[in-house]
This record gives sequence, structure tokens and C-alpha cells, in this order.
Amino acid sequence: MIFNISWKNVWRNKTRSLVVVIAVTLGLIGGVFSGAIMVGMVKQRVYTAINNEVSHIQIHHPDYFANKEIQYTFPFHEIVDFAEQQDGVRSIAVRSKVMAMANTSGNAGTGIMVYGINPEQEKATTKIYNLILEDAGTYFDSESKLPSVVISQKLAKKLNVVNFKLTDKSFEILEKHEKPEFIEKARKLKDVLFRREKDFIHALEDSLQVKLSQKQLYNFTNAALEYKLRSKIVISFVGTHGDLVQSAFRISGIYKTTNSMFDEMNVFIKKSELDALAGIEANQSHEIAILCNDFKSSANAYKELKAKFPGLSVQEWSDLQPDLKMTTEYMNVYFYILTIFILLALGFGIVNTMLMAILERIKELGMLMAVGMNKVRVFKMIMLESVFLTITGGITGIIISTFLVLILGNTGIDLRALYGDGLEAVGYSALIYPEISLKYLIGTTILVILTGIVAAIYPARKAVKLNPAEAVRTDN
Amino acid sequence: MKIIDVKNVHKIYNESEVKVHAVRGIDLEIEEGEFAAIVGPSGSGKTTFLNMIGGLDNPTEGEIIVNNTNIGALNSSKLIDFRLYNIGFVFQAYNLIPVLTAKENVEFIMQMQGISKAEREKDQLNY
Repeated sequence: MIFNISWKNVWRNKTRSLVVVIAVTLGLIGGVFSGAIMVGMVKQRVYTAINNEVSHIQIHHPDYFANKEIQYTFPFHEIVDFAEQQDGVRSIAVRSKVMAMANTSGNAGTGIMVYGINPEQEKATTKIYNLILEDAGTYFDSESKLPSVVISQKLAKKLNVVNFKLTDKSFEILEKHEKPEFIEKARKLKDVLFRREKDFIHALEDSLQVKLSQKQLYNFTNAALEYKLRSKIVISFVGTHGDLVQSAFRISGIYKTTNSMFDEMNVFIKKSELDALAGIEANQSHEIAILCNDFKSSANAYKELKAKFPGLSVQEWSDLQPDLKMTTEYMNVYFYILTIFILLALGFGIVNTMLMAILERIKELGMLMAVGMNKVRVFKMIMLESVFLTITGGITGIIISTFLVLILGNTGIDLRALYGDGLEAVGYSALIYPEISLKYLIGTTILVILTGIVAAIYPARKAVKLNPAEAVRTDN
Repeated sequence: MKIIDVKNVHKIYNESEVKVHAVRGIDLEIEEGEFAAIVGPSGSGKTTFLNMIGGLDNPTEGEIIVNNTNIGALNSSKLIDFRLYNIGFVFQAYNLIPVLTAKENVEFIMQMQGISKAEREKDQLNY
């Protein structure tokens, strides 16, 4: 009966209750949804860090990280054999790594990290081969007299091995995104070749006679971008004997991850070719990367490897990317802090509403107490009213935000045109798939109920303290 | 058998600076089954007296025994239970719980008294 009265009491003043319900609903949509975006971003970041960059475990010479010098190699066969026997180890990639300079005819040169890899091992361990862009070559599949190199889109732009040219295909892409009048005007530039991005933008803005927005620039430059595949890149570095080694490579493919810092630095060539140039023995390596089935098997394999090879530096992904470990752990806390603050603010609104609800029912409360409703029951009734009010808004908010997360978790939130550069500069994908776990939803529901209870304490105490003899004589 | 036995009951309200002596030394006995009406001009202390014998208010002085219980000596929670099981009120402006139906209003007190659902439903029909 108390449940029944409380629930009906909530809806005595429909407008007032609805205002609170809507406030709680909106507050929770904001909290859950922004939490889901952050969780989604961090999870994607962890996924790409493990699948493109560091894998689960890496092994190096103990002095390698001090200077990344070429002489810090170690024999890899024994380690690979041991690692392969560990449960949950999916694949192992052996690499040579050298700090180098890259030059092209159109560029003064830039510092890079050359990975000497075995393409087959690498395909099983990292997903870079999957990230070769459309019309941007292959992952070491092309035939060439010169050795092949795979570089990123970012580096390709930096080394000037790209052109900007609006072709028929570019216009087909643009028709999906841009206004027809812009496209018509831009046709003046059809098949005109620009070597630099800024020249292309300048000419484009001239012919369109407008200053293009960031999104428009993104659409036009991406549609016009062409790669000068088969271009020659000269890579130079200091070999194991202190000699300057210089060699030319042909671009085999161009990749793009969601981490532009990674992209800008890292180029891939075959290990055998790098070893031969640098004077590294074939049984030596700078890095072994190990991909496991999951975090649990990675932790086991890490423990075994660390115990077996104490003379080497064995590190887990969280040691290699401590910022990411921190962000992942902080994310759990962040979500709750955000929700608690939103609910705290809403809690004050609920206190106000409940006080109003009591003030206008003093006579009725006095009557209930007069006929024998004890303080516990009065307290419980007010508590329940507050909890019902909060939970109605809470559940609605959680349902709506879960739907939003499910829909946008499928389609993704595309911020590539607006914030692509910014987000990718710190390693985050700008195509965000929000994600929410059941644990968070249960946690939020508990927090909502707690808010209802805490917000009701003060009004309920006020109700309990009423003197029934006086309360029944009041005028409301 | 005496159902109500009131001995020298006084009620003084101290709420404001001026003390209000609302009831001065009432002695009253009412037998079981007896019908009694209290009449008097406005402000003569009828409601105060009724509140005290109904267990809503405590006397400043004197003793009120209802159904063999000295209700002046009960603490507030015992007093609520006493009211629940022993007293029925009809207020000046009749008070109902507006969110409940007439039937539910009748049932509500019985439910608080811990009467089973079957019995409640049987009893409701008599009202």
C-alpha cells in the first residue's frame, strides 16, 4: 500500500514531477553518453595500440631504450621458440630497427624509424597491411628492382610524394559530400596537377571564390589526393660499424593508422634488406613483438618470458604505453565522477521538489499520523516518492542513452573532417564508436537510486517531525 | 467499565511569550457504550481536550486513562500504535487520502494494523 500511495503521490502534481523526471533523464543521457564516447575512444586507442603499434609484449636488449642504438641487438631464435610454446600466444614478429633519415627529390629530409620486418610474420602480428589506403599500392607485394618500403600517408605528404589533382573519380566522391554549385566551379581545376597541398587549396578557393570550411577542405583535399607510388626514397643511417649507409627504396604501399605520431615516424622495409645494409647478423634482432589472444594470456606469457630471459628487457603493452594504461584505469573513475556530479546537481533539485511536495501536504501527513501511521512508514513513504521520481527519470535516461550508444556504436561518430588532425595527433581515432558496459549501466542505476534516497533524507525528516495535532489544523 | 477516565487534566501552551491555559483541571469519566457530546463556545478548549484523549497531544498536568492505558505516559511511537489500534477520528473537515479510492482508504488503516488481505476484503464490504 505504501508503494501504491508513494507512486500515486509522485503523479499528483504531474508538471512538477515531469520537470524533475526530464531533468534526470537529460542529465543521465549527458553523463552516460559522454562516458560512452570516452570509453569507446580509449578502447579503440588500446585496440589500435596493441594491433598496430606495440602488440601485447615486446622484448629488447636492456640498453636499447636508452638511445635506440643500432648495436643493441640480441639473438632471437631461442626466445621465439620459447614464446611459441606459451599458451595464448597468437603470433610473433621479429624486427630490426634503425633510426634514419629519409629524403626524396622534393624534400630536404626527415627523421624516421626504419622497421626491418618479415612481412608474413608482421601480417599475423600487426594490422598495418590492412591499413594500406585505396589506390595506394600494396604491403610488399609489388615487384621492383629496388627494395620496397611502406610509408604512411602523413610521411608521404611530408616527403612530397603526393600530388593533388581533381579527376573524374574525385568528382564522383565529392558529389556525395559537397554542394553541386561548388563542384561545378571546381571543375575548372579538373586534371590540373598540384604538387603541394597549399597550392591546391589556394587555387581551389580562388575558383570557388569562398573561404572553405575545415570540413570542405578535408573533402576536397582527400578527393584530390594521389600518391606517387614507385617514387624513390633515399634512406640513410649509421650502420653497426659506424659507417654511413645510404640506400634507395621504392614506395610499395602507403598506410594510415589513427595515430599520426606513429605514422610520421615509422617506415617498413624487409628485415633481410635492412640487416644486409646495416651489417646486422641474420640471427640478431632489435625487437620481438608478441601478440596474444587476450590480456590474460598476455600476462601469463609475460611472466614466463621475464623469468626465462632475465638478461633482456621484457615489457608488456602497459609498460610500453604507460599513458594508455593510466587512461584506461582513469576512464573507469572518470565515468563515475561525471555521473556523480550530474546526480549531485540533480539531487538538489529533487530535495527542492520533495520539500514542496511535503509543504503542500502537511494536513494530510498530520491526518495519516493521527490515524496511526508511524514515523517509519511516513519516512518510507517520502523516501519511496523520491526514489520513484529519480528512478523514472533515471531508467528513461539510461534506456535512451543505451539506444543512442547502440545506434552510434554501429554507425560511429565521424569527427574526421572536424577534429581528425587533432585527435590523430594524440593517437585517437576521429571515427568514434561509443561503447557502454553492463557494469556501468548497473552502477549508474545504483547511483540514481542512491541519489533518490539521499535527496529524500532532509524532506522526510521534516515530515516525520510534524506534530499531528498541529498539522491537521493547518490550512492547506 | 470506564472506557475514559480523566483526572485533573491541565494543558498550557508555552509557544509564545504569553502562556495560554487552554484546559484547566478537567475530571471526566465515560463508561463503555456511553454516548457523550462536548459543547462549548469557540476557544473553550474542546479540540485541545479531544486531542489529548485521542492521543494526539500530551497533558501538561493530570492523567488520562483510555481503555485501561495511561496515555499521558506513552512515548510518541507507542502513542502512534495506541491510536492505530484504539482510536478512530472524524475530523472537522473530513480527511481522506486523495490519491486512494474510497475502498483503498478504508483498507489502508486495516493494512497498517496487519489485517490479512482476505479479511480486509470481507470487512470493506460492510462499510
